[in-house]
Amino acid sequence: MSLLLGPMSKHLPGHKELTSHKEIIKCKDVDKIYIPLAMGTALLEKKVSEGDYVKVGTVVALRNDHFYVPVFSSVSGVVKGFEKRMTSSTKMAEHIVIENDFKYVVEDLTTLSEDASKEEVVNFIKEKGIVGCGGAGFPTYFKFVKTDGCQTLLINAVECEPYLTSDYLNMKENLEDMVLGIKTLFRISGASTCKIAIKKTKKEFIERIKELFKNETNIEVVGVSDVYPMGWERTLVYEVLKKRYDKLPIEAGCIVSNVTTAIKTAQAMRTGLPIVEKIVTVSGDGIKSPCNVLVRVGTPVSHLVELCQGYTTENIQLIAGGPMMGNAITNDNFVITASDNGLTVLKYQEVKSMACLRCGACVDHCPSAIMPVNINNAEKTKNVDRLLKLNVNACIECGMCTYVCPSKLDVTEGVRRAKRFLALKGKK
Amino acid sequence: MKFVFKPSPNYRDKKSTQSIIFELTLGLLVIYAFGLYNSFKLGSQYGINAIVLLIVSVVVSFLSEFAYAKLRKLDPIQFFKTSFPWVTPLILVLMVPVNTSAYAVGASTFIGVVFAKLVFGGFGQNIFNPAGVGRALVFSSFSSAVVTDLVTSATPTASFASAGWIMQADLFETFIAQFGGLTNMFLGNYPGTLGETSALLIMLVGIVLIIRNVIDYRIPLVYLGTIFASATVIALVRNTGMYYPLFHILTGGAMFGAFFMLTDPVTNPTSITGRILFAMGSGFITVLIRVLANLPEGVLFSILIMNMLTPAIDRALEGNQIKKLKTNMMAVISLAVIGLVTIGFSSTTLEAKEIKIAGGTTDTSSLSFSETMKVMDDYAKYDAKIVRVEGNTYTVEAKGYGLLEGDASHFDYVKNVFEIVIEDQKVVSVKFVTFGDTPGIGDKVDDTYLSIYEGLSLEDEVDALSSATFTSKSVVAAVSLALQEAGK
Repeated sequence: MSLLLGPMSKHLPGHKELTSHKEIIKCKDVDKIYIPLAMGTALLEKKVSEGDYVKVGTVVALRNDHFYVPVFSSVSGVVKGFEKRMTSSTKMAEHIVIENDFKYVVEDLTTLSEDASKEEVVNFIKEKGIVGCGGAGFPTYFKFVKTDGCQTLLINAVECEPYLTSDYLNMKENLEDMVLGIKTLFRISGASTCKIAIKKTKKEFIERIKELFKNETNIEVVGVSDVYPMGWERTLVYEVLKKRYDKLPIEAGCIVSNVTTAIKTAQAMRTGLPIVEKIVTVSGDGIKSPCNVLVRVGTPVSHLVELCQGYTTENIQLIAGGPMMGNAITNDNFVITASDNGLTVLKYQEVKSMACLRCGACVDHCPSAIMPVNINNAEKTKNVDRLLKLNVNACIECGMCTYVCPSKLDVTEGVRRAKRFLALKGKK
Repeated sequence: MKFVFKPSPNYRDKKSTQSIIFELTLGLLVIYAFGLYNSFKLGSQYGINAIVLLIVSVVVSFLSEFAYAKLRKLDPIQFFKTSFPWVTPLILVLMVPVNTSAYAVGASTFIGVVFAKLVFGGFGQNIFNPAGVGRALVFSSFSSAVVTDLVTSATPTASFASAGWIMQADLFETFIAQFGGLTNMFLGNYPGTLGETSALLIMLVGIVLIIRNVIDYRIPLVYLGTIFASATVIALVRNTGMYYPLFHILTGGAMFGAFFMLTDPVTNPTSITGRILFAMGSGFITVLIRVLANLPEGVLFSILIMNMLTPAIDRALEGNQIKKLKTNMMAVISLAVIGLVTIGFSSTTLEAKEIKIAGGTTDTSSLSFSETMKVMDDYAKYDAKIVRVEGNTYTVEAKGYGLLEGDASHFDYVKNVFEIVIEDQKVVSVKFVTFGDTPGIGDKVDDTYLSIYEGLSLEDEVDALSSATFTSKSVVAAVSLALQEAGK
């Protein structure tokens, strides 16, 4: 059947060698940290007020809509107030400003034993505010509440965004936590097999991970193709299980979880600490010394840039995340949150676009199997019915269509416009 | 410090439309180089004409696009960078016979570039393949511009078309021998257009372009596969033998069309299923045009017809390609079945026509001979004279023996005029220009008889036709003189 479908993916130059073999550097602690009262597009409730004293691990904000996610302070100190700043998802939002007293007094924290029951673990993950570390920040507990029909737990260690190596280094640095985290998630998923997906190209590393799980017959390491967007759930589930699903991976009998999320779960169980520190890749040709940085959540990225010896040129693009899906941000004051995993700094190169040659590369490579070029044309004529037929909302904005476009058109942006237009018309 | 904002992604593939066109251009130039080499092998005047054609076509295309850019108040140099004015002429020149006149190619370039490309808004906006439109124009309006002469006239496709697109296997062997056999057709060493003859070369260049991701492998695969399958159906229905499908994919520019015309991204559908339907539809139409319409140019017109359907195909297939996989598959299978059945039925109406095979072993067994004549003999009595010499074609007149009209008692000598082609001191062909002999007697000397002169040299002997000995001697006198003239 694949005669009628394109590759739906593509190998991208990863530039991972810029940072993958370098030591992780610890970012110096800063005077003030900022905790955004926003998570993606959702707003958070304040749990502290000006003048309050908070400790490392104190809940300072809470997401309490259809998801429950507490947000924690990563330092101890006094809440100095609230400030409007830009977040890493390019939204202006209020941030809690906490003045660091450099004492790092830790909140009285609960830990969890390795043999805790499923309910206890799910509840623990929920209370510790563990979110998916793959970039989207989906609350982890939610995936494990209903696990009926789950046969496979897929651990996503693909890291398909170019430049980013934080998952890889996190694994290398925290092998024991990774083993504990994966085993715990595997146990609570109720699945019969667990597959850890790592890019085929990391041969030695795959062997190392296999060695770690050699006594676990149900946990296997799978090498997956080095293509983008292999880290996307649908692409990964199809690659590993050859199954497609409509809405959630559980329909295909599996749960997908990022490997760093598993590590963070294990660390929380051991230490009781929620996500207060993250390993963040700072890479790209726009930064002098690319490397991975261990940084406290809430630190403005200007400090990370400074640590990496600054920018290489005057005109740069500062991207929160990888270059494919990350947002370019017009200042370096935004802060690292629990779900951030990288900063890409690129020299700005002007791109000259020309007429679409209708080659269909965007259609062939779209991982959602929709038709970006047709969507762009339909959007120009604001044809609602045609846009609905074109299944616009299946787009995940992975950026593939713009990447492959030989005429250098902003195809993804056209599809985004179409999505916004449909949302405006009340069509989901 | 300046932070530049652009919506994600901020990462681009190195491959660009410019690089795609660059690689395509290189591929076309390789094929042109082979065409040029072949043309020079035919004779230097053909080689030079091949160069002239390309220059004229490229100049016309650049001038047209220059004028268009000026009209739209665009910087012509910048416009050329995104309009690629050299591609259409290059493809067009590869599709025309080497002896086409330059004015015809110039005019069709102009029509192709202006009316099939620029009026739509330039590169990326056109519906029809511009080179295809230009080529169709040469065919329909300038048919006399393709000077026919012995060296370049008889293409396998045209010859096969005049045979009614059906031929039994044993006759085909003789037929194809005049082009050096199927192997030679695969290699490309036979008269045809500049760039369409060598299936091997086109395939090699095409495969490189496929590997380089310049063209989609599905299009040539499906197109040639469709033609092959359709021709196989005809071969089975009419029991012609398995040479038939091979001949179909090797002849008439099918290879060139498959790799260089149908793959034009601008004029083919954007979705994969669309491209498959497009290539398959084009394959069926190619075969239908060939066998039913008796036009040799099935490839070209099938492409133009499918170009017209491209927007409709695109719209019909819109949607999520995974969700529509089953319907798409059904569409492909349905088209395949309908096409093959149609071809199968239409092939029953095919009628083989009699043809004369040049250079082949024409059946001369029905001829009866009276005496053997030496070519070297003195035939002064026949008063042969050279009328005209053009290259290696000798027009010679010689006396015939004719009954003067209206008077049965009075015979007199009349003039027969022959056109004799000689190469390497050997007769290639003898043809009547004027025939003056007695109807009913001398006209036994026909093409079949004249075919026995092929390959003759001065040292040879040839038979005279029984009961037309005088006319036969008139022929041999003319041939003898032409051979002597050629030997000087």
